[in-house]
Order: sequence, then C-alpha cells, then structure tokens
Amino acid sequence: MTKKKDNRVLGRRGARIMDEKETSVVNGGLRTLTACSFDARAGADGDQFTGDCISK
Amino acid sequence: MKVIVLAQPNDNHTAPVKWALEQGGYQVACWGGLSWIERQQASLLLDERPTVSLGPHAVEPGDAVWIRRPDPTVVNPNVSEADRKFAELEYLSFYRCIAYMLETLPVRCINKYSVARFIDNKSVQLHLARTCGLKVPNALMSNSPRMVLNRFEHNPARTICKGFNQHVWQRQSLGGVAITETFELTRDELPEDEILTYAPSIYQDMVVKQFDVRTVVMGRQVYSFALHTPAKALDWRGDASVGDVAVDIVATPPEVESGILAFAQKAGICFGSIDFAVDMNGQWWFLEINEQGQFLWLDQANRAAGTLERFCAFLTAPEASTQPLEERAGLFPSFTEYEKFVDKEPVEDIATAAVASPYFSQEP
Repeated sequence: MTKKKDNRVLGRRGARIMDEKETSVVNGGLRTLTACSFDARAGADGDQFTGDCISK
Repeated sequence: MKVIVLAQPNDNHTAPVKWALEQGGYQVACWGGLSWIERQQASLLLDERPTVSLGPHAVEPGDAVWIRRPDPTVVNPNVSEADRKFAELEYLSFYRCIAYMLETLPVRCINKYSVARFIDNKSVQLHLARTCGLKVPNALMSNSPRMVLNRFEHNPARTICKGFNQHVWQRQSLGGVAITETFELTRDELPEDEILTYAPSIYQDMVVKQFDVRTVVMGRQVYSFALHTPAKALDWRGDASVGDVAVDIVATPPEVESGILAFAQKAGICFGSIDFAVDMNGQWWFLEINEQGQFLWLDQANRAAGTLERFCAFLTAPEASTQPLEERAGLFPSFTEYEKFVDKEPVEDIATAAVASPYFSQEP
C-alpha cells in the first residue's frame, strides 16, 4: 500500500490497479461469462449482492 | 412448478442456469426487478388468496424463486422533478413489499430476502460463524482512529484491511481501473488519523495461508474447491478474474462441514458461497460469505466441478429435500455444453455500463 499524503480513503490506497488490457479481459466476464471480481453491469464485485435494491 | 429468477436473462449466472433448466424440461421465468417499463411492472393482490405478479409471470404455489440479481428500482423518467424523490421511495418500498411478501407464500425462496439482508452484514457473518464452531480471525470494524491505532499497538498479529463493499474507480487520466481488494496494512503505513474517518474499514488478523478455499453451499450439500494463484495472492479475486487460478476439488473437513451447516441453519440461508483461508497447519479459517456469490467460474476453471448441474438439481428439488443432488444432476447439461451453445457476450464499455452503479466511481 502506498503511504501518500493525500485525502483518499484507505480502501482506494490499497486498491488493485488493473490496466486497460486487464480490464478488457475482465470486463465482460471471467474469461467468458461469469464475472468473479468485476462485472461491468454491477460496476464492482460480481460476488457481492447486497440483497437489496437501491433506487436509481 | 417453475423457477422464477429475479435477474435479467443475460445475467452471467442466470443465462446458463436458465438454459440448463430448460434443457432439463423445466419452465423458467426471469423478472429483472421493479421498473416502470411493462415487463418489469409488478402487482400484489391482497385478498383471500394473495397473488404476486412479476411482469407477465404469476407466482404460483410450488414455484422456486431465485433472488439472484434484481436491478435497482427504476422510476419513470417522465415523473415531475418535484415528485422524483417521492416516486423513488415509493418504488423502493413497493419492491421491498414484493420481496418480503414472497416469503409468506407457498414458494421456495433462494434465499429469503430477509435472510439475505441479514447475512449481508460482515459483523453478523463473523460472529455467527464463530458461534457455530468455525475458526474466525479476530477483527476490528471501526472509523475511530484511536481504536485502530490501539489495535496496532496491542496486537502482534499481521493485519489485513478490507472494506465492507467492493468498489471500482475508473482512472480517467492514467487509464485502467482501481478495484478494492484485501491488502496487508502495517502500523507504519497507517495514514493520518483523519483519513481513517473518511470511510470505516475492517482490520483483521491475517491468516498466513497455504491456499484459499471457495465453498458452495446448496441446501445440506457442501462443495469445496481449493484455489491456487501463481503468487499466492492475499486476495485471489484479481487473479481469478483474469483466469490465473487453479481450482481443485477438495474434501471439506467434517468439523468444518458441520460448522457450515450449523451456520447456514442459524443464518437461515439455503445457498451461498463461502471463502476460507487454509493456514500452514491445515486449519480452515472463515473469511466471509456471499449469499448470491458467483460459482460458475469454478466450472470454467475445473471441468469436473459440476456446480451448474448441481445448482439446477438444487433449484428444482423439493424444499428440505435430503436427496443427494448428484442423483438428479444428470438431468441437466454441464457448463461446458453451455459454452458450446452460447456466443461470447460482447464486451461492455465500463464507464457507460456502470456509471449509475453505487459501486463505481470516476477519478481524475
């Protein structure tokens, strides 16, 4: 984790950086269809579903 | 009976499961969640025999309802701006009426909505798992700099830090994205106190591990898979998402399986994906559960995993059935067969697809 003197949250400081090539592999699914850690539609972890529907 | 899936039909798990169920002779209906558009409208009729309609589908006794990934509620864009907030809350309340109502009907919910909302809380997960005899690393959840600092000063164990939710930041100037993941945090790396108040975090004893395990629970059946990443990553999801993970079928230790089943019973869930870390002594440590966690990637990584067939057998089994899923799994095709059938989904543009998501942000 970087220890920059900035105002970013801890979670962002420890985040994994994925370049555009990696993103293009992940975006659209885990190799084919089953996104494990990133789902473009959900915008985040495909594993996690809060069980609730947040109104748009 | 039919299987009703609360998700769009092109959801990455809904599509293969729907296809496999239909190949097995079952009727499947998808409802994408509550929206103003006709196919996502809904009605509750409350009289002597309450009925629920989800788009064109009537919920009928004996149905199985898989609450997979309903979309966030969407109000009609033509609503007056003066009425928008009212309409949004009305939509949200109505959705909750529907979701909770399902639990009162003679249908089987996977999982019940009330249970899903309960077990989504990581504090509940860790506490219940411990009370059910599973080994759980000690953790602090806090936004108090004093408490965080105190933990580091009095706890000799190595510490990991993670969030309550996953999040993605699109890096507009540098390109690519930043995705939250579990990371090790030392005392020296702690930022200024105020930063710790920007967002609460989870600080947990680190399990020095041999490998990770993903366990999928389907009713009383428990299936475990060892996950090996090339660099033994602290968080395997990043590697798994680009296919850099080896998945091996492993036996669940009896004491862990009994703990999992006790946990499922206490939590009220009948389905979920659990993450464990296995330490150097072979002890399994409970990390978290996602009650609608992904599982079909296991079939992609290990063709013998067979979670698609088993999940279809689970969805179509009578409630509280004790029949091994393997006895009916043969009714359904495998994920390999599905892949032959389906075209690869087109890649979506991240910014366009996810900008409305609460789990997505853009940064300079």
